[in-house]
Amino acid sequence: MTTTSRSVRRLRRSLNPVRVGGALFVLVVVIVTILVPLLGLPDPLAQHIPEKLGGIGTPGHPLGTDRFGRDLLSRLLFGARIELVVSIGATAVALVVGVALGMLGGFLGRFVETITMRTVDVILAFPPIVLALLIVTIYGPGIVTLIVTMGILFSPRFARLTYGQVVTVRNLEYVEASRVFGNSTLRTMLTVVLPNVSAPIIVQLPLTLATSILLESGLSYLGLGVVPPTPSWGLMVADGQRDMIANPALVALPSAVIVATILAFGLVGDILRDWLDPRRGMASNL
Amino acid sequence: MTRFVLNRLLLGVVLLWLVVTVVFLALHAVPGDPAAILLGSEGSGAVTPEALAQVRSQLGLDKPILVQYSDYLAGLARLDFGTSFRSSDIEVLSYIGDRLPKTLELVLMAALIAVVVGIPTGALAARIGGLADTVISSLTTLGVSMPVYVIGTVFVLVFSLQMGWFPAGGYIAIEANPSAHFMRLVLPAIALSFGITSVVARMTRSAVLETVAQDWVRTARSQGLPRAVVFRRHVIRNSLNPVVTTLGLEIGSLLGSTVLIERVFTWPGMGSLLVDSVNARDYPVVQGIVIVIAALFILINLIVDILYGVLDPRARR
Amino acid sequence: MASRPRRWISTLGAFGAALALVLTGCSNTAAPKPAASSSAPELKIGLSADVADLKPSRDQGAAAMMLDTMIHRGLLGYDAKGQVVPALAESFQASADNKSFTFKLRKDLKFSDGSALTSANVKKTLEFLATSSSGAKIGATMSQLASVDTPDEQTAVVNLKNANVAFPSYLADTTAAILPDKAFGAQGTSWEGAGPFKLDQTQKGVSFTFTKNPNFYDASNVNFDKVTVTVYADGQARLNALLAGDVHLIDFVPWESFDRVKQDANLSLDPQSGPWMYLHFNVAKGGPLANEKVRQAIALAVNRENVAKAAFSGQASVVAGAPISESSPFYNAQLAQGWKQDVAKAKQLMAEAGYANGFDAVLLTSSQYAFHQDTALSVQPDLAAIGIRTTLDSGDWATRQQKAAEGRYDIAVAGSAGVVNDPSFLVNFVTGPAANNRSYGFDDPKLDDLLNKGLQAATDADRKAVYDQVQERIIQTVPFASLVGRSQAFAYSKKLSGFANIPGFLTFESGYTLVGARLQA
Repeated sequence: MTTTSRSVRRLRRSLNPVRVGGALFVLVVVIVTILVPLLGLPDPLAQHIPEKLGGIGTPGHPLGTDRFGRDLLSRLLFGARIELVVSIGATAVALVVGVALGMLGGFLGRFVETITMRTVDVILAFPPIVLALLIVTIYGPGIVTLIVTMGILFSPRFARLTYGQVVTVRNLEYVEASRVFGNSTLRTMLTVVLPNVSAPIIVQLPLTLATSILLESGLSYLGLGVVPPTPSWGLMVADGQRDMIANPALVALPSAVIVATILAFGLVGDILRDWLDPRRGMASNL
Repeated sequence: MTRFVLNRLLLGVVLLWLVVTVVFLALHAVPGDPAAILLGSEGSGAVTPEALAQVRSQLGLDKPILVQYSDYLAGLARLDFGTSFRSSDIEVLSYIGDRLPKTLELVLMAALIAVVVGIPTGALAARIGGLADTVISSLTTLGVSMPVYVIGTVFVLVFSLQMGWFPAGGYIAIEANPSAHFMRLVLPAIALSFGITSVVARMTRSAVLETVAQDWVRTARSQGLPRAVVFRRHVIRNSLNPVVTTLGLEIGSLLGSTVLIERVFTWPGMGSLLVDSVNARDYPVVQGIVIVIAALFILINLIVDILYGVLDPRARR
Repeated sequence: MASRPRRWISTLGAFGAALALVLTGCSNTAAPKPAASSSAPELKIGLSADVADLKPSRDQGAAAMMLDTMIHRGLLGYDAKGQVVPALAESFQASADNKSFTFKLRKDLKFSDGSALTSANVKKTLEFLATSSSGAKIGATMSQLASVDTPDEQTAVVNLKNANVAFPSYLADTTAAILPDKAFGAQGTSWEGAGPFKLDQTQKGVSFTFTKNPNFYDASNVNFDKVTVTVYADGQARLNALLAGDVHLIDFVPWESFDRVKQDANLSLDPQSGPWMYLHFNVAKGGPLANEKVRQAIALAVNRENVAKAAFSGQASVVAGAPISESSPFYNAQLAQGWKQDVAKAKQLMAEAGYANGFDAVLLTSSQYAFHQDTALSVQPDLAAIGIRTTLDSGDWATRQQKAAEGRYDIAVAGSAGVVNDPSFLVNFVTGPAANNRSYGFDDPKLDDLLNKGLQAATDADRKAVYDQVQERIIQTVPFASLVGRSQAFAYSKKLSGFANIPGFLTFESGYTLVGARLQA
């Protein structure tokens, strides 16, 4: 049996209707995000105060309006863009920083190892809300600050993962061989070690995406995230809370979308895990 | 073994010192003057420079930053965390000591729910399999996907405002009125428990499935022990180790993240004290809270690592 | 097998330690004992913010002012209609030139700890308030203090450097409370005063319990033996406590919930138009905002009704001129509409100023107060309509204050209450050293002059004429662009009678009316 067909078999086994649903949802979100400007939606920032707090089915606003009379559907869809930008950005930062720390620590050993891994420990020991609070307060809220903050917060998981893998692999023969062939340490790291540690890292990616959305919504809820009037689902829940009684959809709809998106990313993560790294996912969960 | 523990303890202290330093520097880099906050309010006006200078001097902020830092560290060595900027007769340690139990209560209650609900549910899912397994697994996946403030807000909306079963928030001390105290504890604890319970259930399920697949279980069965007995007496007990360690880690990380729940339910715990203190630029209180949370987190990790060290000598590098 | 119990023990140990912490923590909490019987009338108040440390001379916000009215008293106070009335002083007399005020104290005044309150305390307090390093809220007015003479224990003569006809109303403010000597220590706090109640117990950050002060000069009119004040920082939680009957009275009713209170047959909603929201500008930078016409354009461009609807659920009144309330004798109906929305004129002014294509600007606000940020969000499109493209700078409150004080903004949203209802308070918003609630670098000597004349004018007719000129000048030079007057409401059980929300900026002094209020059984 070839590696490819074994791989395909594992992929098929890792799928089930719920997970496929999740993957499709993610796909839809991504497509919507790209197409959103073409959908002819009302401006998510446009205020129509006389129409404020309209319920679902208000003419011209199928999902209703918020306290500024802004269209809820439009804000949900444009908000998806922000969510993706923030979560992909944060994941990318976490990936780069984390993998770099883990690689350097695992490969170079001794002093470098101590510095990199202790940095990771400090980040982990820091209560995440405090870290977010401090960074955002120093640099001011905004999407860039958010991406950097969350990236730093999530880097330890990639760092530890990479470190663990590198340590296991660094004394193996093909690494020695690469060295013997005269490749520099950096080259060896990138061309030999990195591909071998990639599986668990790839599995971790959608989970980090999901957690970023979760964290971003929490931070926006506290006023530390996206700056209004830019729509963000978390911000919409926080705002909607005040008008919950007048229009519960303002809380219910963004909440549902947050949960669905996180769920979907988690399911994609499960698929990837069972496909690429089945040892970890001993008992498949869904 | 002792060397291992000492080593880790030393590491923990170093870590704590690093955390303290980072927080200290960060707070002094943050814009906003604690003296200005003390001298004004939301609608207030101008403050004289002399008043600002005097308050800053009272707070010790006019000294050079290195002096402030070394003074603070010296204080820490005596276990003196200083006094709150907002009130000179509130000692930081006692302030935190007042709020920490309230947060711990929430977290431990959530952990209790996680154990009581999550473990049997996970074990059941593993044992029965099939549709029940899929349903339970879906629910747990949902549980980790829901932001805690969403759960809390929905709870308040449904169980408090609509149904009127529970009060909408607030805190009453247990000595003053035990039943009122618990009525206010229920909703936030359950909301907080969603995440942990789901993780515990999934962990239990994985662990049970892994244990069941092992040879000694087959041996026990082949010796004629009934399935239920094998399950209850042997499988579950042996599966619980990863669950327990996961639970410990979750509790440790939850300690720093209860602010959202405390905000929704007006629960006067450490999370809301933290946010309020950062807003008020109350440096000593913020530093104190960060130290306490980090210390607890490091301690819990240490305990978990000890467990791992006992289990797997390879980890004791 | 031996290792298993050890593992369990260590984990259980961790749990046990934590549990022990919880239990000891619980027993450390000072808990108020439940009331013995219902014969002692106890008032329960839900307060919008915690007060960690009471320093009555400072501006610590509305919640602190409520506590001040319970623990302290000054020479003068306010009645339910906002008239200045005698308090610790049983009478006072202004000299003909309004430069000297003689106060006659009541006999046998005592602080809650029994120590005597005499003119010496009055002198010490007033001199403290006048010191610039004390950070007193009424410090600007008190800096005009020349001397305080105390010919005898019951008399205090206050001499000012310059005439100020509105001076007595500053002394009626809660921050002018007469304090005992111990309040002036290096770390002096003042939880003891000469007011109707004294502090019995505190649960840090949660509640305060007060009992009736028998030494209060008007103790016979105090109808509560006990008052419990519980902190509910969250507006909805505060409201729910009132709806559930956990408290009798709350302050700061959330604007979106006014209707809910009105619909409840057991509750009264008592709103007054209180602090006013406005925009201020950085004119020191040069650039468009230094140009008077641009500022006028901004004042004419904003849709104030929208601000009221979006940020305050409609519970705010339009203020299209200087913030002088309709009930004031100095109100001018025409000038009050000086900045009535006129987008066409605004665009024209922008063109005249040379900014037909608009410009970019930073709009400073804070995410910590939702209404503040909502006000900013509401005016953003209005500014965009005349070409001013704003981005929000929305950090927490401390950051906002610092940036505003240092001029790190272009346009800023602010909300403020004057200290007194008299138009002379406007001086704080048009002149003075850099501050976080007025335009940065703004200087209009002519306006300062007019305001000064207003302070010293002899008759009310003269004052009205001067203040008309003041309003015209403000409309022209736009030191600030008023937006709305937001409604400050108390809500209370119908069983509570006698409590009233004092009109205008004095809404925060309403705690004075707790004396004379009563709870029906």
